[in-house]
Amino acid sequence: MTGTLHINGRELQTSFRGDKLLLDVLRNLGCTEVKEGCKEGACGSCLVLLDGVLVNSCQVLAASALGREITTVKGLGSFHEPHPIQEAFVEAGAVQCGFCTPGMVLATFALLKKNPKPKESEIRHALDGNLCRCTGYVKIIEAVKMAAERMARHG
Amino acid sequence: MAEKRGQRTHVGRSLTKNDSLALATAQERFTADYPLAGPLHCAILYSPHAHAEITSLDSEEARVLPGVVDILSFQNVPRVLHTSAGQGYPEPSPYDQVLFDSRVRYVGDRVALVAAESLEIAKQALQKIRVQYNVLEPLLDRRRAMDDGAPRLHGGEDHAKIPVAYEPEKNLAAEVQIAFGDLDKGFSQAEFIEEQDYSLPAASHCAIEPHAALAYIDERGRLVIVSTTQVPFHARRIVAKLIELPLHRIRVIKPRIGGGFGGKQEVILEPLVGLVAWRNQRPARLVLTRREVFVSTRTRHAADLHMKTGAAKDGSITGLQMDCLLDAGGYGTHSLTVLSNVGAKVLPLFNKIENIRFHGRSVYTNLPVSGAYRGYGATQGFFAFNQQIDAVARWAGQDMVEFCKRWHIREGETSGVFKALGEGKEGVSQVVHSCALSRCLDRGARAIEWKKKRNKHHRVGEDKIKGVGLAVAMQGSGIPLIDMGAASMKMNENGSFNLLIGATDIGTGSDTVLAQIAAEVLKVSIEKIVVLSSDTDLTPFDVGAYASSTTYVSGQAVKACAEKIADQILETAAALLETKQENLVIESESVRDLKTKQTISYEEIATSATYNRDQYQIQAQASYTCEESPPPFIAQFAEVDVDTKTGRIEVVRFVSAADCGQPINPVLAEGQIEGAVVNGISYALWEEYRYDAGGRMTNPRFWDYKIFTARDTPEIQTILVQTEEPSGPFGAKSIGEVAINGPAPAIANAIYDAVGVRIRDLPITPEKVWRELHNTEHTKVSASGSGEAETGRASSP
Amino acid sequence: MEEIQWYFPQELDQVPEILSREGVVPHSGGTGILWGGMTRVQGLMDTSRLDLKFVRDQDGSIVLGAALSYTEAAEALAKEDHVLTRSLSSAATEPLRNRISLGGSISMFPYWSDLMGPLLALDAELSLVGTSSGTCPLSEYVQKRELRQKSLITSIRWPDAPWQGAYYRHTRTPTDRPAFSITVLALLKSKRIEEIRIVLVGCSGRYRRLSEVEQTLKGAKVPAEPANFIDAAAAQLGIDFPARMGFSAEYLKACASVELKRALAAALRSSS
Repeated sequence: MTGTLHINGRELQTSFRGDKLLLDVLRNLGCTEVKEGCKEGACGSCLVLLDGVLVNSCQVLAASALGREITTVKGLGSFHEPHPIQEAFVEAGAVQCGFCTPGMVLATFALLKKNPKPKESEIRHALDGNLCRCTGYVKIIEAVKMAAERMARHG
Repeated sequence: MAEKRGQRTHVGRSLTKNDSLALATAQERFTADYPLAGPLHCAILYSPHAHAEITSLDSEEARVLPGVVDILSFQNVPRVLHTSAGQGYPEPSPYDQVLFDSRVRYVGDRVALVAAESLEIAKQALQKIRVQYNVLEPLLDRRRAMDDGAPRLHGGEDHAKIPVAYEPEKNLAAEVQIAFGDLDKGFSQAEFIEEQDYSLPAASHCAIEPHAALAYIDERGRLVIVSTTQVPFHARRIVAKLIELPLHRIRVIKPRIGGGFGGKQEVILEPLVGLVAWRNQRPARLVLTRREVFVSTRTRHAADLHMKTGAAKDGSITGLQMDCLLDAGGYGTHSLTVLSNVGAKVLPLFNKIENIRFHGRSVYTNLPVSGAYRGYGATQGFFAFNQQIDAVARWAGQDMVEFCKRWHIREGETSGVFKALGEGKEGVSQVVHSCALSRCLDRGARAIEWKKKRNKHHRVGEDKIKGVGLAVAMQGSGIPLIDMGAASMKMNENGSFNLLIGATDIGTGSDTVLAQIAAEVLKVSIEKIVVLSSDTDLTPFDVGAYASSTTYVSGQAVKACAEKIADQILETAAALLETKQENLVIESESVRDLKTKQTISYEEIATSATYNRDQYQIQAQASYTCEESPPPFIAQFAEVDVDTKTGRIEVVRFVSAADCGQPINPVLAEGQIEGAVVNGISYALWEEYRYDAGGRMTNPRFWDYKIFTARDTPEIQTILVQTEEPSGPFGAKSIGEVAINGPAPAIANAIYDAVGVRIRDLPITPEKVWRELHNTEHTKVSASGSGEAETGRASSP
Repeated sequence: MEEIQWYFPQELDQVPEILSREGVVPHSGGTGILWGGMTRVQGLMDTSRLDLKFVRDQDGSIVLGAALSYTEAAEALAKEDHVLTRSLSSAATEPLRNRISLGGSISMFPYWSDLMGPLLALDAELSLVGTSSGTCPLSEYVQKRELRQKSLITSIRWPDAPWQGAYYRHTRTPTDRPAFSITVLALLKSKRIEEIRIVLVGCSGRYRRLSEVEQTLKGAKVPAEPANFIDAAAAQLGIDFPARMGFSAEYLKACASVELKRALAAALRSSS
C-alpha cells in the first residue's frame, strides 16, 4: 500500500504492506510517542485519534488510515507549549513512569471534547482503555477533573 | 546543626517531578524509542517443553535466510554459570543459569536467538531452526519437588555463591530456619490455636512498558547498553562476566523506564544484546512482546504458607509457627532473599511473641521463573499473618484495631528476628526509632468508619452484606550493611549544580526526591539542580532501585555530598567576604554574613571559584551504606460488599494510613501508596498464572490476565502519618513497597467480617466465596467444557 | 506471505464481485479480523466509502448502518435509554468501542458479544449484500453459517417500541468480556406484561431465547415475585454453560439463574 498519512497536520508519503498495523507504521515513521505495551488493544499506550476518534493504533490496519487525520499526543501540545491537559497531569502528580501518559492525555482530550463537564464515573469510563500500574489512577482522575475545570474556565 | 522542621524549604514539599512535563508531552524517550543506525533485530526461540534436553539443534536453514546475520545457542555461546538476579556481589542467589543451555527448564525457557536485518526476518528464521528434544518428566507441583524420585532440574556445577543452604539434587534452591524460645511450650500454654494453610499464586508485574535493551559499539570500541534496567551497575558487572569483556569496556545507561516493580531487577536482555553487538560489531535491539514478558521474564513467587498461632485468654500470642514453601520456577533468582523476607519483614511486627519458629524452603519447578516483585516475600507472609491475627483477635473478643495497637513493635524496641534473618547473610540487629503504627491504626479506622461497620453485617440492597477488614504491615528501608549508594555534585558558574547519582528512577520520581534533598541542604531552587542518573560511566555507584532503598540510602549519600558542597561554598564565600566561615550561613542561593548582613550570591561565588581567584571546581562526592533498615509501617482497611447469592465482591473503599518517616515529597509518596494499593487489590481479586497440564502458561495476555483499570478502582484514601526517623535523610524512611502488603489480607478479613467466609488462597474469586456460602462439594479442577483442562495451580494430573 | 489486497468500493453494487474473490472479507473497524488472525485473509474490502454509518427512523423501525461503531450506535440511541446503549457502552473499553462495528460484531458473534443479546431480543433483521442478498432475521442468520460467508451486512433494523429493559453481563472485571449476558425487554400496559423478550447469550449452544418463559409471562399481571417464574421455567429448560474464563460450569449456571431473576425484576419495575 502506498499513500499519504496525515499525522498531526503533516503529510507523509509512505508505503507499507497491506497487513501492517498503524502502530508499527507510525513508530517506523519516527512517531515514538505512540508506544507499544501489549499489541492486543488492552493497555492504551498506543492510542491515537483517527479523524478525532480515540482508537488503539495496534488494532487499526494502517491501510484503513490512509487519507485520514491522525493525531498523536504531540499533536495536542509540545514541551514548550503544553496542552492544558498535559499541564494538569503534571501538576496533579499523575505522571509517575510516564509510559501510559500520552495515551491518558489523548483519552482525556477525547472525553473533554465530547463531555466538557464529566462526572467521575464518566471519567473512569472514558479512560477504561488505559492501563496504568504506577499510580492506581487516583491522581490521574484528579488531573482529568483539573483539566476539565481549567478548560471550561478558559474556553 | 539541627534545624527545625518548620524551616524546611524543599523537604516535605510536593514539588512536581522534574521529568513530568517531558513525559506528558512525549519529549522524553524510553529504551525502545531510541534510534539505532542499522541495528540487528533480535528474536528469541523459546522452549515448548517444561523439561527437556536438546538433543539436536540445526540452524543451517535459518542461517542462510537472507538478512540473518547471527544465531546464538548453546552450540556457540560459552557456558558461564551466573545468576540473572540484580543483587550485590556476591549474589545470594544460586549460580544456576547460563545464557543458552542444552537443557530447558520451563515452557518459555531460552533456546536460541536470531539477529537479523529486520524483526520480520528474525521471526521467520526462528521457524527454520530445527530443534529436537528429549522430553523429560516435568515437575509442576512444588509440594512434590523434594520427594524421592521427583524430576531434578539442577545439579552438576550449579552452586551457591555464598555459604547458604542449597541442595539442587533435592530441588532445594534455598532454605531458611530460625527459632526463638520454646514453641511447644508456647502452644501448650495456648487456649486457642489457629492453624491454617494459605496460598498465593504467581503474578506478573505488568509494568506497561515491556522489557527492552539496545546495544552498540561506541567511537572508542566500547560496548554501550541502554536498557530498561532497575540495576545498571549489576547489569554491567554481569554482562562483563558473561561476554568475557573487562568491566571498564562496558557502559550501561538507564533512560526513562516505564515501571519495574521488581520485574526489571534482573539482568536478562542486556547480555543478549551485548553479545550480539560485540560479536557482530553492530548495534543490536531486543524488545520483548507482552507475552514474552509474562512467560519469559520473572514472576512473584507463588507460595504456600502454613501458620499456627497459639493465644492465651487475654489474646496474647504464646507461640507462632510459620512454614513457607516458595516456588522458584526453573531458576533460583531471588529465591533465598524473598524467602528470608517472608519471615524477616513479618515476624518483627509483633515483637513480643517469645516462642517463634520460621521454616521456609524455595524449590525448583519446571514453571516460569520467580524473581523480585514489590513486597518481596513480605506480601506473601502478611497475607497469612493478618488473617491469623484477625482470627485470634476475634476469638479473644477483641477488636483487631485495638489488638494490633496493643501488640505491635514500638519505638525503642527491637526484635531478635532482625539479627536472625538477613538477606542471605546474617541480619543486622536494630532498634526501631520511629513508629506511628498506632496512630495509623486510629486514623485509618476513623476514615473507614470502622466502629460503625465492623461486625455489623449491614445489608446493602437486597442481597449484599457489608464488611470491613484490617491488615497491618511493615517493610524495610534498604538492606543494612549491603546496599550502597553514592552521589557526586559539581557547581556551575551561574550557581546551578549537576547532581550525578547512580540511583535508579524507574518512574518513582527518585531523581526529583534526591534533588529535593540536595536542594534542602543548599537552599537552591530545584530547577537549578540538573540531575543525571544511572549511567555507569558518568554517575557513581548505586545498587539500584530495590529493597525500598533509594530515598533512605541514596538520599543519605546525596545529603552528605550536598553538605560537602555547602562547606566549599562557605569556604569560598568566607575568602571573598574576608570573614570567618562560622559567621556565614546559606540561605536562598546565597551566603549571608550574620554579622555584617552582607550577602553574596551563589553565582558570584561560583564565578569567582571557576575563573577569578584560587580557582577550583566546587565539587564533592559521598557514599552511604545503611547500618539499619528502619521499617515503614502501614495500616490498611478495606470495605467490601459481598453479594450473598453470587459471591461477587465489590471493594467499595480502601484506606491506607502509612508512616514513612518524613515524606520528602508527599504527592510522590501518596502516588507510591496508591499504585501499590491498586496492584495489591488486583492481585487479591483477579491475578494468577494459569497453566495447562504441560506447564504452559495459558493466560499470557491482558485478555485473560486482568489488572485494574480506572473503571474498577474503589474510593482510595491515603493518609500520611509523619514521624522523624533519626537515621534517615531529613527523617525519611521508605514507601516503595509496604503498601502492597495489606490489600489482600484486608479484603479477606473484610469478607469474613461481612459473611463469615474465610478465603485463604488467592485470588479471592466470587466463585470461591459462593462455594463457601453455599457449601458445595467440588474439586478445584473445573469441568472441561471448552477443551481447556486448566487448574489454578500447576499440579501433576 | 502474499501481499494483502485492499478494496475500497464506493457503491454497494461493487460488493458482490469483490466478496466473491477468494479470501476476501469485509473490513469496517477491523478488530474482529485482527482477533481471528490474518493467515487466511487474502483481501480486505473496506466499507468506509459505502455510506453504512447511518441512523434512520423508517416506518416505525429503527435502522442502523452496519458500519456504525459501538460508540456511535450507543450514542444514537442514548436519548431513549435504550438497552443497546447500556449494553454497548459497557462493552470492552473506550477505544475498542470506538472501533468495533455492528456488522463485524454480528458476523463474528463470539460468546462474549454485548450486541447480540439485545438485537435478538428486539427481533432484529439484517440487510445483506453479496452472495446472499436481501433481508434476513438475525435469528436465522446466526443459525446459518453459509449466510455469513461472502456477504456484507449493510444494515440492522427492528421495530421501534417503548421497551423497558435490563441488561446484565457476567464478568470477572468491569472491562472484561462477559462469560454470559442477559437481556430482558418488556412492554407494560396497565400493570400487565403486554410483551416480553428474554435472551441469554453465552450458554451452551451460544445463546438461548427463553420463549417458554416469555409465553408464561405474556399477558400476565406484573408478578410480585418474578423470581418464581424463572426458577420453575429455567429448571425445565436445562440451560447449561461450558466452563470458561476461570468460572466453573456449575457456578455460571447458578449465577445465570440468580441474574435472570434480577434482570426480570429490574425490567418489570414500572419506572425504569
